[in-house]
Amino acid sequence: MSIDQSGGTPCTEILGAVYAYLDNEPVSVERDLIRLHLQACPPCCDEFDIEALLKELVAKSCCGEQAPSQIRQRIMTQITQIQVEISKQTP
Amino acid sequence: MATALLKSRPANPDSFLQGVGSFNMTNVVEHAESNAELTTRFERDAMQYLDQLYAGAMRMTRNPADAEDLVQETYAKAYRSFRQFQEGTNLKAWLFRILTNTYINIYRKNQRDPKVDPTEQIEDWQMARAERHTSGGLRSAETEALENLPNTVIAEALASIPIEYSHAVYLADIEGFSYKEIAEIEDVPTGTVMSRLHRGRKALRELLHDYAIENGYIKEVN
Repeated sequence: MSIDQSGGTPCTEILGAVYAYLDNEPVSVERDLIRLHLQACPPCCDEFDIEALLKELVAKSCCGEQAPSQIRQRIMTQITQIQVEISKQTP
Repeated sequence: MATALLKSRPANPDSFLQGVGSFNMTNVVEHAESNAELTTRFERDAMQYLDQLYAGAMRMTRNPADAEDLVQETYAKAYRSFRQFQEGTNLKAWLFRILTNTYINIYRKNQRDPKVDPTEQIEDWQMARAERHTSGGLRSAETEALENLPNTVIAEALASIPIEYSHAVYLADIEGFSYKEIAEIEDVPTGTVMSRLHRGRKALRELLHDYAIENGYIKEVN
């Protein structure tokens, strides 16, 4: 995997950039070079696939946890109380 | 409502505000907003993140009663500081920061300091596993297995890794925050965010991989 597969960028550098690349953060290696490398290097491509899939799975696994309906009312009641407190302090 | 959670609040409930400076707090208010207007604006802008904050609180406390209290306390603190919050800055990240700090103040303070630095602990653990799993032959099988895993397994695996790491993963992958935003929420340097994400994802992947083998989603290749 450490053999230069394509475009002169070593696999270690490509794999080091996997998270930043998938997270849309600034990457140390040019994005085009990463794409070229992935096309030519199945092991790196697999690695990117797995990490991208994990990211998707994590996002899916925790979606849709809804707050119980009574919380909103509890919060707004408390906020009204705080508002009254604040009004007393600063008439 | 007067639960142990709220009673154990630190003596100075505003201590969490230290460091909020990076969120562009300002004392300059363009016009004197009435308290009623402030409440309306708070309800309109801040309450829309209720479900997301609750899901975050559930991930941190791991039980609905504490999650509710944590979210309520977060909104109370946010409301008290809301007049100083400048519109146009990232409200969602600001709320998550208050949530995180409130959680740390309430829960983590009561926990004993771990004897072993969790950072070192996971490193050893990871290295041991990395050695076992350096096999190129498993790769495509791994992808296939991951796709078939139930959502609950992924959520449980995420919940079982150290919270410093899982929280970073959660903020990045579920809430879609950038590294810089996570750094502000967690009040750590961006480099620390990157290392927490890295460790969290590696740990998650290894856990899922092991689960997949143990439960027949992947056949171990020798």
